[in-house]
Amino acid sequence: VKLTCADTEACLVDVSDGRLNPSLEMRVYSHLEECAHCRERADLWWALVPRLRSLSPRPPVELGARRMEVAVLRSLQAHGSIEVRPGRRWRSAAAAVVLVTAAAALVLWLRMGQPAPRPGDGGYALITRISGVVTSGGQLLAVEASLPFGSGLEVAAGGEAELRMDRGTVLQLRGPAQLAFQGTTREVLLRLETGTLQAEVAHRLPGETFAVWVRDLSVRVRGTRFVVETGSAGSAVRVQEGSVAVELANGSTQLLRAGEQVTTAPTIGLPAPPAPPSTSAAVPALEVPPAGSPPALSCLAAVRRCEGTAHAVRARMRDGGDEGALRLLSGASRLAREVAPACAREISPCGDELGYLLAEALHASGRIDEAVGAYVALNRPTAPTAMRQNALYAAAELERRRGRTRVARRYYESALAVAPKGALREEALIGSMESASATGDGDHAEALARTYLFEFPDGHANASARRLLGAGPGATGNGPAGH
Amino acid sequence: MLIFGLTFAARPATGTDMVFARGTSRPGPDQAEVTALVDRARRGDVVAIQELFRSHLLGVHRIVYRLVGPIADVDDLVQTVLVEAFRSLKGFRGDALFSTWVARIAVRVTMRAVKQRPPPAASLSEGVELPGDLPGPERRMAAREGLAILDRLLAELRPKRRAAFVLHVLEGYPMEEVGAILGASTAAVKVRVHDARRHIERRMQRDPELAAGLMGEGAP
Repeated sequence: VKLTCADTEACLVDVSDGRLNPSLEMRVYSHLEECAHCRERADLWWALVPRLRSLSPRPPVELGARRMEVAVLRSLQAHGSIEVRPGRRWRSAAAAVVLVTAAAALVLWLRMGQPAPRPGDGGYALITRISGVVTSGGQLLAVEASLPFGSGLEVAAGGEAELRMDRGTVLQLRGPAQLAFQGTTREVLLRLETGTLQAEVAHRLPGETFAVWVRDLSVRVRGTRFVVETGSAGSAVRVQEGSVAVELANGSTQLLRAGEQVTTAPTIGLPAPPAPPSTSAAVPALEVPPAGSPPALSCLAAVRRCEGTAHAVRARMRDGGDEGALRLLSGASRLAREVAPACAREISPCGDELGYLLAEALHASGRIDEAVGAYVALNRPTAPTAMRQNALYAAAELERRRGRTRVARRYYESALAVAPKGALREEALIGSMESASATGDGDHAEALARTYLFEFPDGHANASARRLLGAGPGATGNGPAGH
Repeated sequence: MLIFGLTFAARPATGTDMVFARGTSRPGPDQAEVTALVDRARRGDVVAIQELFRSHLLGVHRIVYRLVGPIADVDDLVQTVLVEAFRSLKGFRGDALFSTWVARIAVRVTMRAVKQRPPPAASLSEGVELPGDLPGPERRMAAREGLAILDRLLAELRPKRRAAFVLHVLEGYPMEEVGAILGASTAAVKVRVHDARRHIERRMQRDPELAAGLMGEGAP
């Protein structure tokens, strides 16, 4: 059966793609031999199709693709439609670490004549819940990822991670936070660089210790529930159950019981436990009555309500209820009006967190202008520098994505300036470099490229930096010249 | 990084789900590997999700771009497509190739967005990805102009014709698969592709400069 002109035309792409069976292909060519009109059309489209296919749009840049990947994983985790578990490589790595740890424990046992640790005491913290971005050594972590001693954990602003350790010890880390696992199974040592850590420590056996170190104090416990917060302004510890020994930088030791707290800076205050606070609070920083007219809310109650709101907002956002989260945040603005000015310092950390959640919720709801405004509003001197950098970087990304490269460049550079050694330095440097190049500031782009190659010789944007310098693959940076 | 050099499959004659690295002969995951990856991703394996993301990102990006043109929201749409695809992985029964299934989601998400906000006319300022080695400035300019012309021609097509033309002629999906992706009969797809071709042919006849720009004539 001979093909019609319409049938032949419908087969042209299949012929050029080599997809037709030989018999049908033969019939197409037979028709073309007889039909000059179709032959002309075939010549045109066989020439045109490869040309049109070669006109591919510019693909997402490497960094953009990486950011998109992280955003997709975050969305999957938040949505919970797929329970994200560590992959095979992770499990293999974890299995290798287990084997090494078991071997080391066996050697110790043989040497010391003591019983080896039980398999369940393998010296790991297991992640049981995640909200937001949680990483270890730059790798995005998922629920059920295990962390060996010696590793670290970073939680981005607005995020939270819950971890379980041996015999039921539970840790909750609220971002922005950095925590390092040190010591051994029997002598657990957590080093909190920044952030808020809530710990519920299972009772320790004789000879076992559990300590949390921050820059200006350390907490030693046997079995209790407590919260530690640390930042550039100082640190604070509040005990919720049991008792802890707090060693301060001056060498003095203070025993804290349930309901008591100690701080090393007046600007640091921790949320109260659910139970009514003890009247014997060692340092009742949150309960100092404000001067002047009595506030509608005490500082303590305000901080409690603020923390409660933040918790509820995070829960809504985890479930994808961004509009609900925005309604809760709108209610929080009423709370702000009820807080006395004297409580401003106490409520400031939680207020910053609500500000960040507001920006994230606006972003998730597609209200980009307002989201950028909310992110930029967080760039105030009293906010933690890590949060300021995160917020500025997020604003820069949003502006870049909608083509406002000059504005984006300003925010990238502010993100670099506000925390020169911050966690997002590499990304902000790349953003500055690319936006400087895109806005025609070649000299500055080259200076940034040199800085980038110098600071991140194995960075993932090396190729872009070298291209900007017009150098070959072997090019290296020569330091932050002119930057 | 090599993963970002991956491109979506130019539809292979064998009907497999091959994904090739641009400018290399290194094959990406084949059909069996894709099936295994999908199984693992369904169980929540992050590495498998990442592999699938990386091997399908460029294909999804290209389809979305060609359906909406050079607008600022392309990356957002691509992200929405991939999130929607991974969220509904449990609904993937394996009746079609995974790439076809993802393309179906890409078309659905993008057409929904187009309905809500029609894309603006194409701009000449968009850059292009050129095949082969470093092109000279004239060739780069010719390709940039060629892409801008193609963007403009695609923008002139009605959405359904545009989708059928993009999927069959530019992406190389067989008519039957295009029908499955668009939820239309093969006959309807043939008509839409035919109409789109006629429109482009007429425009090329009427405007020799446009035809020359589209064919890349004048480039070294």
